[in-house]
Amino acid sequence: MKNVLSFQVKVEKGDFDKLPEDYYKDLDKDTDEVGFWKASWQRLKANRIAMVSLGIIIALIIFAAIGPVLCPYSYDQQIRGAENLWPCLAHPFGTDRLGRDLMVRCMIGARISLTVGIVSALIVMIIGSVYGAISGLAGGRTDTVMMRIVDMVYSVPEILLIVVIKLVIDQPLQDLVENVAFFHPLQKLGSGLIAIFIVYGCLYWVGMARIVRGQVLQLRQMEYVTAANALGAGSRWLIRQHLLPNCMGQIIATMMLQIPSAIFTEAFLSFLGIGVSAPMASLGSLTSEALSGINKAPYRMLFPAVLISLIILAFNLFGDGLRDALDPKMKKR
Amino acid sequence: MKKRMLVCTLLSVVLGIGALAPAAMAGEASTEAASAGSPVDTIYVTDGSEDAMELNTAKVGTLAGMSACRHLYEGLYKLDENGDLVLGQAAKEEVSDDGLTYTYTLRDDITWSDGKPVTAGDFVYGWQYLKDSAGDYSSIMDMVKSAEATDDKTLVVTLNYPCSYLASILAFPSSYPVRQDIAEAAGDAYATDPDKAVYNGAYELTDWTHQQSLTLTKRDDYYDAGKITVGTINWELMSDSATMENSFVSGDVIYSDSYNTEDVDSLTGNGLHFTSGYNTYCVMFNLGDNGPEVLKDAKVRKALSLAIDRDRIISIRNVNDTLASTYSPEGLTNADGVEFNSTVEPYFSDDYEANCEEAKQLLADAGYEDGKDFPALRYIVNNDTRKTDAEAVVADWKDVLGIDSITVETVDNFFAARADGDYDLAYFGWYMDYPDVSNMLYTMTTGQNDAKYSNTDYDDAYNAAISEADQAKSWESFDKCESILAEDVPVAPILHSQSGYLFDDAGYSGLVYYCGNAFFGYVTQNA
Amino acid sequence: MSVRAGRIIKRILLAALSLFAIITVTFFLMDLLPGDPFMSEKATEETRAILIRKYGLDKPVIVQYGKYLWNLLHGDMGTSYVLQKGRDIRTIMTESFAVSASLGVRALIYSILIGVPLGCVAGLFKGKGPDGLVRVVSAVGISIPGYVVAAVLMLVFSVKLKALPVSYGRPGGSVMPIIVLAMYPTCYLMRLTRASILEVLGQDYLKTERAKGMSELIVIFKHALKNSLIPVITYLGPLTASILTGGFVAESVFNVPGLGRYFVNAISARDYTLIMGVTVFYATLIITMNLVCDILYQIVDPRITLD
Repeated sequence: MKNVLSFQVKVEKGDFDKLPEDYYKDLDKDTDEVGFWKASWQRLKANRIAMVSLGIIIALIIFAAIGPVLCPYSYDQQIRGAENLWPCLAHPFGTDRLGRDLMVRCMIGARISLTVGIVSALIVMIIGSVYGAISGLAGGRTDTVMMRIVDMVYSVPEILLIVVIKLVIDQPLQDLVENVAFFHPLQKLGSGLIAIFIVYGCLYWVGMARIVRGQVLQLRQMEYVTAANALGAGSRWLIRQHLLPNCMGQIIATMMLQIPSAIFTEAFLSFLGIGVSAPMASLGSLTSEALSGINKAPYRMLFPAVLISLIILAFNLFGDGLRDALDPKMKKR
Repeated sequence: MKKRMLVCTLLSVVLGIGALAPAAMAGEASTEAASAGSPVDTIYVTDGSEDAMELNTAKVGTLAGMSACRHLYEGLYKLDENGDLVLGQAAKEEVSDDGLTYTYTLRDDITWSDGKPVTAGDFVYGWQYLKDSAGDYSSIMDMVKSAEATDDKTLVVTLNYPCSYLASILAFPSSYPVRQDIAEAAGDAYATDPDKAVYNGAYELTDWTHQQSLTLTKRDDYYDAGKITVGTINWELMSDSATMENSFVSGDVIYSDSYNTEDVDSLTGNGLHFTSGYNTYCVMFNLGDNGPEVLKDAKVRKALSLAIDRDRIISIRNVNDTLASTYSPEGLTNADGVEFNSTVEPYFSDDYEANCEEAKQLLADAGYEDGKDFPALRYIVNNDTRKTDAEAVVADWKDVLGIDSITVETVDNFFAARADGDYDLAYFGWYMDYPDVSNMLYTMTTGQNDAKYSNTDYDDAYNAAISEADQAKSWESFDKCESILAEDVPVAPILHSQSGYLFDDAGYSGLVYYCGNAFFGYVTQNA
Repeated sequence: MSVRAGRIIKRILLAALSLFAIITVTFFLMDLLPGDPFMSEKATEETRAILIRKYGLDKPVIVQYGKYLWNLLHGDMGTSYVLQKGRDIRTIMTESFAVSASLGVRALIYSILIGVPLGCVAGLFKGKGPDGLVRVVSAVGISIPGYVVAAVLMLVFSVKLKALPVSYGRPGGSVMPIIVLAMYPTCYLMRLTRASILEVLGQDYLKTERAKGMSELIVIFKHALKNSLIPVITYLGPLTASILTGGFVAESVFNVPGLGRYFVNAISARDYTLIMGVTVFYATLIITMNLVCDILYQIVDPRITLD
């Protein structure tokens, strides 16, 4: 018996027409729907300040990376008879007390400062985001304990601890780099620099950890995550598919803002005389060395100080722009 | 961050014209032209930082601390307005014929700032207190066998040996009297605040704003108050040499014991003064167990020393240094007034090019031709100026010897690091306590140096020199010490530096500057 | 209410635990520092050994630690070894904190009075003249290292113009240290306030308010300002603690007898008791600050709970 109420449709072959091949392509064109990264990039591109900053950063990186190769002097070459020269044609930034060309030293200094900034920020990003993600995902007691540790690190006098840790690890690190074959490649970097990375990594991951945890907690409450969870998505899949991409914007933006802070920290250590070892130079050590000659040779202060400010400024402004661009909520404004 | 460590100090032995205490030193203390100026109510000066400011005479080891002590306390001897040593708290000195017993009669009009009279017992206690305090100069009065107060005003001092420079010692802060009741009541806190000490000098401490300033107020009951022309000394404590110099240049203070060495050119003629420093600035090699193998080879050390372009470093430093071609500084003369250095064979020739050739050869002999495979070494220093100097030295080694594996590092807690052997190469600068060659050469005897240098021949020569009664023979032994050092090169002498200070001599006169110590009591304002 | 009280008590206990942990970590780290406080060019190994024995530094670190904790519980923080030899740490802390705090409070007030209003103005006039100016000033302000600012200020105002004294102790001597101390927080506050205002202004509920016909002024004053202050307050917590304890650079360069110099100098000098002193002091201060902030936070925004 055929139930008249039943809604059964018999589909025969040929009842439907095949859509043209390029149908979806056209559909894509019709909508504004673009990928997250692409959209972010577009927002960033529209931000003039951020783009100018990006340009400055690229220029500085070129200055630091390629500059020394083009210079006829090396950063530690003491040109006898050319001590204390004011900026001139042969030495656009002048020379220091020992007759070293300040321009090439600024290039090397910028290289070191940028390295310190970027590597430290990467270290902070890795430690902070892993810690924050674990804390946020685990929840409950683990989360509480982990966050208490974060609070604790927040309340140590950071200057004091930075100096203590730097001094404590310097010597062992030196021995390690010198005596253990595995670490020999690091020799070129210098134990002082590695110590700065470690110090920075030890103290500054907490901010990142808090931000990532906050993001994770927020995302976990999102309907689509709940839905995915309900549909049986594994946590690994969740992390990869939803949490990571959504946190990434915040993480990268925060990381960008860590770079100037790391450069500042290195400059401060140089001011204290415990930065990179001579004759290596960082912008921080160049400015602090110039302090004693500020009356006599202000140019020695001027160039590295301008460069360090430029780097910090550019990263700050670019970081701001990036944060705005990567935060989808911001696109309305 | 500059920490001014004890320097020259002690007796410039000025008046001690004895065997080992040369008369040539007499010009050592300098005073600014004693024109008749008018007294001043208040002066502002800066000399030393808070941590240098030790006002416990038994523990003081810094120049700034000693300067302050000279204002607040007074010994049997003192400095007069010409910078000469004269009797201070003592009215009379009698010496026995063998030169071993001194009898001092104290003045009747001397009091502590709390009104009590100064007694001979205060000296006896003070000298014992010095021995019991683990200060830098705790053993400076070891020539004193015994000191006895026969009554309140009579002090009998017996010596182990006749000491020609005793007066200088008795004017030195370590020998000042200490009030037992006050010191015992305060314990470790003695002299750490104005009310934790009493003073028998021309001034008393009326305020100590820690880390900032001392206020020294003239004592009207000081027996010689009539000669003291400055009412109040505001003694600012600063640690940064730029801050100190700027304070001087902007007119905030009329004296500063420190300045940026880079500003020498602009300060010359504007208050900068240099006086002889009696010191030697060296590179020290670590020969101890912690030291690197490569430096154990004297050829390497000699090569490193020869390759240093000393003239260039002196011109970079630009502070009137003189080149050091021997370990002992210049200005040390024997009984006949002969300059010790002139009797010593210089470690290297005047011809730098030739020295470089010799250095290259030595390094090649040691197996590091053109610096090939020279191991990485760490050269430690204790401040930024010395770091610059060290970088210049390292550049010479690179340019001349091809060694590019030596890095320079500023180390905090430098002296402990060096004493513990945590270094390969290090700054070493010995500022003599008194201008006697023994004070210089004993620093290279076994156990006395951070290079961990030990050579029995050297020790024997040194001991022979100091125990020898015959001056000529003693001098010969000292020469031998020097020639052993020339061969062994535990340190590479670079230069002898001068001590410099800033004083506003356009506006003021009467500063007494004595071997790194300043006394402001006689300062007057120019008309 | 009692739930909240319970939470606060729990928070305080945790704070005490944090303090203990910080003391412990610092103490053992400090023990790893190479060197000791008693060496100089003129000091002999004998005097060094005598002093090390005298202060018990030859004992095992765990014994020293136990002794320190015991004394601390009795309110005894020991005496300084090097920087103010023989003086009680508590006295040193009190004296120097008074100086740092007096400078710090002034610097803090100036930075709030200047930073927050300018940040608001910039946020409200986004893209217009004042905004551009504030953004440039604040961006430059956070980009120059403090010691450069201090050196340049001194060069210009003391050495060249002779308008201000170099050292803190003189009349007018607090002007330059305050500028150095306040510069970074002022500029940071500008940026923070601006960003925060922008964020709040874009929120949906404000759009609703506007849609309901509420005037822009009321929107701004009633909602935007209040809510945009939350991140500012969060920042003020750690800022207050760090600014009150002084800045190393400002204090060193202008010779301010404050606490800030000790965070570095005590370590260089290996003045162990002083290192511990500043650590205990600072950690207590900042933990208390955070606690107070959390509570303030709750009052401003009841949606946020402790923990």
